[in-house]
Amino acid sequence: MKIKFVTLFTLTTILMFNFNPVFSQKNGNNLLKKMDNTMFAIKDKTADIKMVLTNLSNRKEKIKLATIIQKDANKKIFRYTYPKVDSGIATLSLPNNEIYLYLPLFKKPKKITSIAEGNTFNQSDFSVEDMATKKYSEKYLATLTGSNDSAYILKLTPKSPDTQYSYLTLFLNKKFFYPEKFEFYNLKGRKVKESVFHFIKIDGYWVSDKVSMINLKKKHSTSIIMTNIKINQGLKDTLFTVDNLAGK
Amino acid sequence: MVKIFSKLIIKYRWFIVVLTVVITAFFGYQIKFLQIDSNVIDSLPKTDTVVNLFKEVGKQFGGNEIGMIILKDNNVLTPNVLKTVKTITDTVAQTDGILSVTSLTNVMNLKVEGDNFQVGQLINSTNWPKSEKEADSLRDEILKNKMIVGNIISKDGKATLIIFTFTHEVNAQAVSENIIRKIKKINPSVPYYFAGSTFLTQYIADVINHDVVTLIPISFLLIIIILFFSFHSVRGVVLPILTAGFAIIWGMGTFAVLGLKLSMVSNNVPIIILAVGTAYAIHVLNQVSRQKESNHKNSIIEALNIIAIPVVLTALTTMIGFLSFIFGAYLTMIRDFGILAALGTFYSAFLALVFVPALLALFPSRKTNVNNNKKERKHILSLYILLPIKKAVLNHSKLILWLWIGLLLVSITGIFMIKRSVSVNGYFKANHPVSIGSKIMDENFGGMKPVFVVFKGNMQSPEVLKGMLNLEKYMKESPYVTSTKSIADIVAQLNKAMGGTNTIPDDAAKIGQLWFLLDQQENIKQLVTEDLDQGIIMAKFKDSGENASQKFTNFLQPYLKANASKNYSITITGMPFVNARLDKSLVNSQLASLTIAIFFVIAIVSLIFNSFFKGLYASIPILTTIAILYGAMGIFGIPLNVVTVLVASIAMGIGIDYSIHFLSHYNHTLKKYSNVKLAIEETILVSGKAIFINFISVTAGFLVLAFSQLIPMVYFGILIAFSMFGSMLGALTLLPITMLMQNNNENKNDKK
Repeated sequence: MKIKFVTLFTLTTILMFNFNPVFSQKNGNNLLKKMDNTMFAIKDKTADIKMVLTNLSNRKEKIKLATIIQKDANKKIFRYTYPKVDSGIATLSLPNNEIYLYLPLFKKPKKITSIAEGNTFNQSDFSVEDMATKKYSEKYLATLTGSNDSAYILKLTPKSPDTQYSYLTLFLNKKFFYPEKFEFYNLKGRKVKESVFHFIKIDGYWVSDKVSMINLKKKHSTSIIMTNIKINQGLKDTLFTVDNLAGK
Repeated sequence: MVKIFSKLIIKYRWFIVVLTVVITAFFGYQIKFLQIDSNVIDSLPKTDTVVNLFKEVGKQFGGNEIGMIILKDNNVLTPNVLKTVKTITDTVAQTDGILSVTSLTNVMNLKVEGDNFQVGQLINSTNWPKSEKEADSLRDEILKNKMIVGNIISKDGKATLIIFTFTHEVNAQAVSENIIRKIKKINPSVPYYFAGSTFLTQYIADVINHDVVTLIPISFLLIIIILFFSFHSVRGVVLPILTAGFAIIWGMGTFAVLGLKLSMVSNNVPIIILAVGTAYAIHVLNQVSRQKESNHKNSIIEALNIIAIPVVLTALTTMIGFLSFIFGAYLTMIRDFGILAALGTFYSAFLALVFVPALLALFPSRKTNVNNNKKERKHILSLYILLPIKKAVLNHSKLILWLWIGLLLVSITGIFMIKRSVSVNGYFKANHPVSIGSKIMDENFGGMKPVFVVFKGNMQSPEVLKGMLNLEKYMKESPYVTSTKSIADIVAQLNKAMGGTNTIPDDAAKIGQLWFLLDQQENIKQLVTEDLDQGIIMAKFKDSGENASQKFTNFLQPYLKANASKNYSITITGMPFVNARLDKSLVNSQLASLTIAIFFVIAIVSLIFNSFFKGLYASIPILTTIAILYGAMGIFGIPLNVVTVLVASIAMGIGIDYSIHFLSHYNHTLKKYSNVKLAIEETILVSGKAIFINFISVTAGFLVLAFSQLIPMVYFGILIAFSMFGSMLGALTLLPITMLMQNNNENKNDKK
């Protein structure tokens, strides 16, 4: 009788897990919230950045160096240090997609209002939409579709109609709940981009130290490698101002 | 030699018939692999610098070919039309092989207001009109935008474009075909047209397919009817048609095996082979039926003995007409046309001399043709056409000669009026969507032929960028350039947006910083190479009037000379310049191929008659006809283009046959009667019949092309028919009059 009950319970669980959409969505959204908790756990961050831009057709590479200071998910200053021509160029990202650009030779920072979600961010293969400035659970509905040895596989459907993607596939690490990989599918349902994450633990928090984005259509990739990462230093909001961007 | 050949045919008749069928089956299967390439660009010579630069621009700057969909309505800025624009834009963007799409619903707009510059879509979710009022205010705003008006939307807001580029090394024509299919499926609620060279090519390919499917059967049917009424026998119809049909299959099959492609020029070859190829079998049949041998095999041997050499020689002259394009052609499509037509002619003659006798040996005719000559005399053709011609030639030779001379003089004036046309747009009738689309483009968007000015140098250097901007300014002073676009324009605009002026900064470092905003932007790849060592000015060119590109080049030369720099080089290319090369080549091609054809044809005919003067006499009717043909083209405004350029040499090759047949028979009868008038009389009545029937069947075959949807093909059919008429009439009137005059001169000299 006991064996029968266990078998029945297991079967029901498997069936529900696999075939009940409500269950798998609820589960998916919960998993996505767990990922957000992992990703957005740190309060602030500073790091040195190496950006490698590769044309995959001819393997030509461009390297850019920068520093980043970040508070929460949506306050960032990128300041370029290399190549020489870009040295001193800086961008300030604030909530609600407010972006300021500072070109030292033009002195005055300019506000760039980017309406298109598909616009590229800081010359990379990341679009404004791809940048994690908002929690994923706020932007997507998640459905658990399967799993492999190390990760849950979730289908993320955008909540907003203003999107360039029909859905994303997320490979979420089962043990530590950080993303291993995202696959981006365009409105036609074709895979157009793929991003791969690498996480390390600093002071008990999982922090991404490398992320690579491959644009399959453009045959171009961007790798962002972070070193000298420091977290939770108590960065102040006053750092993230237009005046500070211009180094005043 | 011919007798041994004839006996071998009779001996191995079964083998020959079976082998012919097997070869036909083999080549028929190969036709399955025959491809159509209607793209003129692919046909341009690989050694031409302008063409190479044009192809290089395509490679370096992500496509020299642009596709466009034009939407036309009373107001394109209504919610309904914009919805259609968006649907089409999304559909095109999601099509494989498309690199970029630009339309009203996704075009990026840079708006500067104080210290804020807004980068975003011109029409986005925040300003998408929901009511007519909102649409009106959006219309007012957009029609003031200089970057958009004339490029994506017309000045009056009644036409808009969806512009797209193709990924490198993709079959742009196949992509365009796919897009046409998808847009038809969407069934837009407003009238739409496709524009751009790839769509033109696709439309031409469609027309070629249509012509092959509809016109060839019509041509077959017409020739069958004419042959039946001419010979009144099934054999007289089946054998010539079978010969031509097999020759077409062999020719097309060989073409496929050689890996050559059909083009908008060579697609008419089946009709040419049908018209020309039937003639050889007719001559063989005619000769066999004239033999009075009791044994049919001996009749065949005897007939071949008489007809083999004339058939070989007439085929040779016709082939020379076609092969002359191999040496004189600028476009590979014209060269391929020459190869295919010459192959078809060769196969037709070969089959007429081998397959037809073998079949005749296998299936002898039950009819006796003893009274053939009497029947010929009573033929309606003899009564109403040949007898009046004979009378006119013998009684009014001077009047006829003066008529020819008058016609020749009028034609010579017409020759100077000949125009050339290389623009593919003019290939379609006025009510064809291509013509309507082209008209909308010319009237509202400054034409659709981009001209590319390539700058080689450091694209971040102030000197190079200033050079580009200054050249653009100068180019716009020309009446042929309606708008220009380059990386220098964008740098100047960004300079202004960042607080400077709408110029190129003097400081290279400033340009370097502005470049930060451009790096990785997909659309700048159309203007500058990845290594920043080359950039282009894309100019919209109005290819109006004659020699527009040459006049524009002349306009640019002094400026380029005065502003030359050691830090950068400037070269120009684009379809108008390629067309200019093509235009120039038309005359050269024409002269080269015609000279080759005339030289070899006269040489061969001289060899046939063992006399250079007879060779020259035989050529008089066709040379006169060609002069009249050119005159008619000039007077009636028929332009010389990639198709009509073929007419003269083909006419030369085919038309000379009438004179050869006439002179052969004349020589034969002159020996018999020793009287020029009697020889001419019999030649007009006997040889004239075969010539006339051949003229009717060849002309009917070519006139079918008058029903083609492609204007050059219409002209081609009419012009060849016209030349055949001229050659026939020349051979039956001008040639005998020349013989009479020569005889009169000889008589006068004898009296002296």
